[in-house]
Amino acid sequence: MSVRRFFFRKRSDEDLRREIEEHIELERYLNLERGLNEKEAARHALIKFGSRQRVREDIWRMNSATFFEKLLRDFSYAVRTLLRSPGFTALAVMTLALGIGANTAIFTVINGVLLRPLPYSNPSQIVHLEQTATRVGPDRIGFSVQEVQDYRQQSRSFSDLAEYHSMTFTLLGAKVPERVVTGVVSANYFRVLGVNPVLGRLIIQSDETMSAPPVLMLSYAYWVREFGADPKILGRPFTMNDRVHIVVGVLPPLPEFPDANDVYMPTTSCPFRSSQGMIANRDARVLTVLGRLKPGVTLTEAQADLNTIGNRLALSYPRSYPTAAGLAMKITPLQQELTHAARPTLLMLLGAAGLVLLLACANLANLALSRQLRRSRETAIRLASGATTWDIFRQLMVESITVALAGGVLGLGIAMTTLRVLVAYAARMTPLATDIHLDGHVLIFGFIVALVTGVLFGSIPGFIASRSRLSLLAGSGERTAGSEGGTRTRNLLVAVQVAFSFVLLVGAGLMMRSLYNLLSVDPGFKTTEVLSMNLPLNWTRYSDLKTQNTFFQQVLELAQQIPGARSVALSSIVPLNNTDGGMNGGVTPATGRSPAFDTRLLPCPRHLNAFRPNLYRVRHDRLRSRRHSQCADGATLLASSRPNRPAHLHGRRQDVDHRSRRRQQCASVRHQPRLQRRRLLSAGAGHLHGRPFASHSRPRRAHAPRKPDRRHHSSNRSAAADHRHPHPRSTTQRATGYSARYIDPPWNLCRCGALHHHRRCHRDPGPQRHPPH
Amino acid sequence: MARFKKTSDSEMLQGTLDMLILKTLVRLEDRGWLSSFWGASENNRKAKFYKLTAGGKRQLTQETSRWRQIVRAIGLVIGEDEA
Repeated sequence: MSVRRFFFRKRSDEDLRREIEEHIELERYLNLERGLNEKEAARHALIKFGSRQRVREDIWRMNSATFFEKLLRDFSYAVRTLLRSPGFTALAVMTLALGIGANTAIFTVINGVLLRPLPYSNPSQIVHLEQTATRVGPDRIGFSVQEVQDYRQQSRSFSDLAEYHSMTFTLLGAKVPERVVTGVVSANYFRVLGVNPVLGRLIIQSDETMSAPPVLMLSYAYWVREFGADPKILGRPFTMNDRVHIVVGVLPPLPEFPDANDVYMPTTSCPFRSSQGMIANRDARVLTVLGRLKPGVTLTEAQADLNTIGNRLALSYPRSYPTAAGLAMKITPLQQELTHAARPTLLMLLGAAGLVLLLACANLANLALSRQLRRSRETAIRLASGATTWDIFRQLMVESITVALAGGVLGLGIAMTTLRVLVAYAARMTPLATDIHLDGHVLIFGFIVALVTGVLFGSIPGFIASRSRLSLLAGSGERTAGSEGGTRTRNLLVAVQVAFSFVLLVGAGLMMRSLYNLLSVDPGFKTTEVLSMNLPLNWTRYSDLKTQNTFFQQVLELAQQIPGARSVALSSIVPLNNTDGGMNGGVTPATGRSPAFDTRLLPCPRHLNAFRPNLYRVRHDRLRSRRHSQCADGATLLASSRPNRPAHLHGRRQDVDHRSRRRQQCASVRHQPRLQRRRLLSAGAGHLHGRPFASHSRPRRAHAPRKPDRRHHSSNRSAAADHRHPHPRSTTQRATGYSARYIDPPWNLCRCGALHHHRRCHRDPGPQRHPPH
Repeated sequence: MARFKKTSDSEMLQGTLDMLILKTLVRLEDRGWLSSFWGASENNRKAKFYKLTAGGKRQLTQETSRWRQIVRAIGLVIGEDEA
């Protein structure tokens, strides 16, 4: 009712005026009838009614919201005043826009990564299980099939445990053969996560038997990208690993966790996971495990439960759980697992941006203050003509808030344009960065920041102005403003402001400095001029080590002949790979002289062949001259540290060098965290675990995220080629890429790219298609 | 002059009353207790008529009974018989 009254008050006022006039007219008519003359009749009628204006004013006031009207008037006045001094306005708006823009942009990322709930049902119940060999290195070592089964049967804190690993397979049946990143999951995986398909159905228990026809689920992104979101995809057959797989469903858009998978298949479809050797081998620790806590079970209880089971297993199978390795279980809530790497950096960035904004506020407050002192005469006049202190204060507040809101709008624009850079940065730290956009929360945040900013930088001048004295009017305004008292106030303010700015500047500078430190950790080797290529093999064709090694040998030989390639190397795992462990493991000499280690944990020497001598030369230019000649066995090169203590290559170069020299006589040296897996290899069940250079060749940094292990258990290997001018890079690149296909077309769809380019790319660059011949 | 002032004072007082009545009418209408319409008066002039609405009637009954209660209470206090 009252809102209606507010908007229709003009009309109702008009109505009232007519009513009053009619009323007076009637009165006058009655007076005439009473025998009064014309003039007296009118006079008495008017007198009897009283003040017409007063009635209308009262009713008008009754129908208005005075506060807002005053605000509106202040606003239009503020706009006029600000336009009169465009220099100040532009400066203030730009300063605030930068500050607010930076804050809003960072908040947008925080909102998308840290604040938005995960797209799983009850995400707080989902936990990530990890196993580490604490006495060997910080790398996670995953779980074996046997372990998953044991934990699933014996744990009481979880409603279910799901297993996962990722591999790269070749998919036939689309337009061209394609390399697809495949998530191999247990049937309950999506139930544990609590997701529903957008199309078709999820993988169910009956799919996870050896006799069941193989099925596939497509990720939403892959479905849209490759099949244009075609709903007829259901039931379509694709050939993978020489078996026909039927598409049964499409997943909703999900974070790229644990990996950016294109398709999902049940464990029984994966030739690696379903092999007898893999299932029977307790030491083949390659799986990621996710669990859903039972309602009401706390993390501590679940952790205790897992520890109990772990101890029990260690007693039952002492061979698989050597004391020297110090295997330990840890559970992490999924939200933390997804964001732990990004959280500190983002919060630090927000802190820095906040400080910068505060600094801008302080500067503007000073500017506005001196402007206000120049306008003190105007203020005095307004006070003299009846304005209250509150009116003056409010008017100045409105002025500063107007500036701040204009800055906020501009800041939102700045935030929108810079967001892409920030998202790309955040994507290196968290898989949640794919779904970041401006939404209502961000707008509200931007508005509040602008409002607070306006209040902050407007309150001091407002306060000073509202205390102006009328005596200013007596003399010249300028002179009075420069009087002793005024000068002291201003001096004090300037001093405070300078001190404040200084503190903020130092704070912001320190923050930037720590950020710079975090970003500029030296990995210890040069990645420029190194090309790399991931070689995924057809698992069914290259099922045994011999054929694989023959193939890789051929690739190596071919690549060596490419003009422009200086040296070529092969590896199964990329050194300092942040997702597959940074090769931060310990070292056990073959002779077992070190008492801390069990000689039984020695590797099968032939697997060390993967670490071709040249790899080190290619990757580590600086050490090459000193080291290369000494190394008969490539593995020696990768031996990196003291037995019990993991070391980054960085900063310990001398150390490493020294050690490898000393261990020259050792028959072989192994990389401890991989030890369990190497044993699997000797059992003939699997093969070397590689992470493509092409996709994850970023060296570990101090802040590098501990992303869940992304192990590609296919017989992927990476080849690295040292490329030298004068041959154009692209020629070498293409030639390297074709060398693998030359041997075995069209299976080996591989991608060759510059190592230092790939360092910047967190995500798998995706399958690259080569036209079939 | 003094006489004139006196008459105009009394006239002013009377006038204020009309003004107050009009303001009250507007307020009562605003509360939904009155409805108004433009019509013709008995001497064929345009006039605004106010009419009690159902809600207004209810309010009136309520207020009247409350008024009677107060009158009776005051009557009892000053010693009148409850008749």
